[in-house]
Amino acid sequence: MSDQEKRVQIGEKRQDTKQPTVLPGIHRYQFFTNLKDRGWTLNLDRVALFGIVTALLATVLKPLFHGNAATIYCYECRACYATQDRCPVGIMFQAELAVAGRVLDYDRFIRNGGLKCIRCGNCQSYCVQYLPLPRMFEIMQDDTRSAIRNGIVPRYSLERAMNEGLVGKEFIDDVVKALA
Amino acid sequence: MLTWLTFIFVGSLSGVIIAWALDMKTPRELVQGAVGGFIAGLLMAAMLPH
Amino acid sequence: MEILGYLTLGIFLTLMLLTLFGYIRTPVQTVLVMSTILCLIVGGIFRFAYSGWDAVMLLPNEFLGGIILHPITALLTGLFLAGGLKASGGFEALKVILRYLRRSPIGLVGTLVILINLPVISSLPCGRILAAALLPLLFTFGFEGGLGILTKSQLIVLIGAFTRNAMGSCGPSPIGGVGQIGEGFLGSFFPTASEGILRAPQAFSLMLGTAIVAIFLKMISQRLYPEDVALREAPPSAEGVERKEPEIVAPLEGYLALAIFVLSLLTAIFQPFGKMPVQSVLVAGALLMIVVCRIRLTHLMEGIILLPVTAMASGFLAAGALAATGGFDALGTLLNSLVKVPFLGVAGMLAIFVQFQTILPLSCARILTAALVPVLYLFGPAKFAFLDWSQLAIVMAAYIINATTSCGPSPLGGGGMMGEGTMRAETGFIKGAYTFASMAIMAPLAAIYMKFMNLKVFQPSDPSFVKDITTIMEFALAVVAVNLFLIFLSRRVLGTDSSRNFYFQLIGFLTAGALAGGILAFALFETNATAILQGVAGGIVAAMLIGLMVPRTLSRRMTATLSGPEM
Repeated sequence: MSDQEKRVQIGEKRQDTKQPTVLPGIHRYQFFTNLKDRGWTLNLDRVALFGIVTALLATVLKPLFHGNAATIYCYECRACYATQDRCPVGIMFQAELAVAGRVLDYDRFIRNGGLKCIRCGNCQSYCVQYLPLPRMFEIMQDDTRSAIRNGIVPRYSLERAMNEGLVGKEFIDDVVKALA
Repeated sequence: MLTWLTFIFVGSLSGVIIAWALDMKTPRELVQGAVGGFIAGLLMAAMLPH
Repeated sequence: MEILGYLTLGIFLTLMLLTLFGYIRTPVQTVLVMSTILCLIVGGIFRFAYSGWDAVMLLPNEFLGGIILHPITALLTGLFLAGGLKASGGFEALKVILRYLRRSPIGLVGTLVILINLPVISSLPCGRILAAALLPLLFTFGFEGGLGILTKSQLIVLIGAFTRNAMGSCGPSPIGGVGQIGEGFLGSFFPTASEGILRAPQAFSLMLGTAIVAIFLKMISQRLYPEDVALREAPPSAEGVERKEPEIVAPLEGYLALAIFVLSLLTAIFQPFGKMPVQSVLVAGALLMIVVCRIRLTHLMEGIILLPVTAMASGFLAAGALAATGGFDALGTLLNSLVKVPFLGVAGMLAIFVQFQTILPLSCARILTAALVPVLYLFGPAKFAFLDWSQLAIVMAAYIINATTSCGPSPLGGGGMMGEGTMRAETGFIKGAYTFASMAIMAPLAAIYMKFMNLKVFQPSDPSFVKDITTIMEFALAVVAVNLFLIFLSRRVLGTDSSRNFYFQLIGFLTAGALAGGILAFALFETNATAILQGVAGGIVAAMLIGLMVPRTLSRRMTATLSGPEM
């Protein structure tokens, strides 16, 4: 087949309006839908898509089951960082606590000072959506406390928190007991 | 006020350039492009915090 | 454990580069998920060895933290609304309104200029929302779309410029835009930063960048890739014949749907009923459409496009895996170590840093922004003290607009692919234009705007900050003039030899990159000659990396991808 014929053939395929719409206004033979070597990747693609959907579902369902649904609404815009020294315990990155609460990332929560938060609510006024940040942090604090008691939180995370003064007095007993 | 002026300026400038890129080269068309850009700049400035 | 970060970063970058250059030919989602899995496996092994099984078990929670739900849900609800608009005849109503506008004193050109800038004016949290709604409408201006008002070349410019504007509009969005990530960090010093310290610099540079994209597409891209846009020109028989514009009649429901759409957007942006998520407002709008315009839920669902959603989600997963395994820490360390390179210094390193996301364009800017803005923040007084707060704000402005616009040229499911699809172009057609504008126009001008306008607005008590509109205009004119000159010059020397064209284009990129780096350094360190030279050097390095990623040819690679090399 000559180059010209190949080009015409591909051109015809690209103009085929029976092709599924991939993006708005596009009925075309797109390289990611009709690859010649797609055979061996087909199952890989399905696995990938399954993984993406599962991860998304987990991200939404996890906070729902843990009663921390408000974390789903966090824009992660970091407007709460403007709290600055109005946070009485010196937490710098409040959004990190919200995200950690959504996915139950204990290490991230502890690392960013979640266990020293006194839930004063000063950061809430900076949230562009006025999300109930103190309540969100409180729920995650309870989850973290349970995790510490059950021995789920890694030792290095607790040791670092103790060394850097990231544990509030409410939680100090639990952390000390876990490290003992 | 200065924000408005800046955006009107940048809108008009981009309007003229876009008009030219769209093969609209008569003075009337270029002015129309500038006016379109002027309106776009004005609207954009209205949406900004002052 | 530090080695783990370098390993996972290596895995991620290798897979991305192989995909960008077409060596891995699978959907981007698959590649990103594979990168995630590989990083997690390697991370799991390391954690098991160093910290035991408990640390491994927490790895899934940590990488899930990389998923940013807001842009995904905002995009889905926006597409939902676009579906409703389509089903109820809202686009027909928009066409009628556009026809009236075209016949008004601003004419066709003025109408198109407003249309092109509509995304940045409306500033939605994802550019794809408006692009999905309006790209089919823009297509109708061409011969194939029915109106036949514009030629193929004009339609390429129109669609390309509009998509450029859309895929940067998520930056200045006050409802969860990319720029808010930077504003959040600047809030540590500027008390009112979260009210939009980065919005005006982004919007300013995006408007000019859009214009440069239009010129680039007209003069360079169409000459570099002359056979790679499958849009049809009007047949010779139709030339010279006055085409009668088809009479468009829009149903009442269409006007109502359009009104609901606009009202929803305005409510989401201005929040007259108090603070609420944009998603809630848009879904309320969609429900109102169902009731008022008598459309069905299936119509709304037809508007949803899954590719950008899954590409974005998989990008977040990959970023989450990198964050959990220390990949971004490694990246931060690497970028930080550039300061020690003699000819780069701080200014040169920053000139490269601000262009980093254009060098490695991913499907959603947030993927890397969420990871790199904290690194940039640490360059300020918070840790390394390379910069003071005002300098940090200037770099942030340049970085954020460059990052925000990076989903446009991304061939990995980026927003620009929507434009390429609509103009029936090969993937990669718009890349040169988009990356050039981001690098040469947007980053330096955003920095200049921040320095001479916004610092004064957001820190009015400091007398050292001044508003200097004349300087902004002078810089804008000078930067635009130099880049237009480069584009005109390149057009003159472009020929039929694609390799030669590629090198000419690369020289243009290097020159523009040097200028951008120099301006950034000037905005930061004023007339410090060493810093400006270092900025120029950094700009050249960044431009080299960006220019080398612009495809030399499109058809040959795409043909091989479509049909296999043996055909």
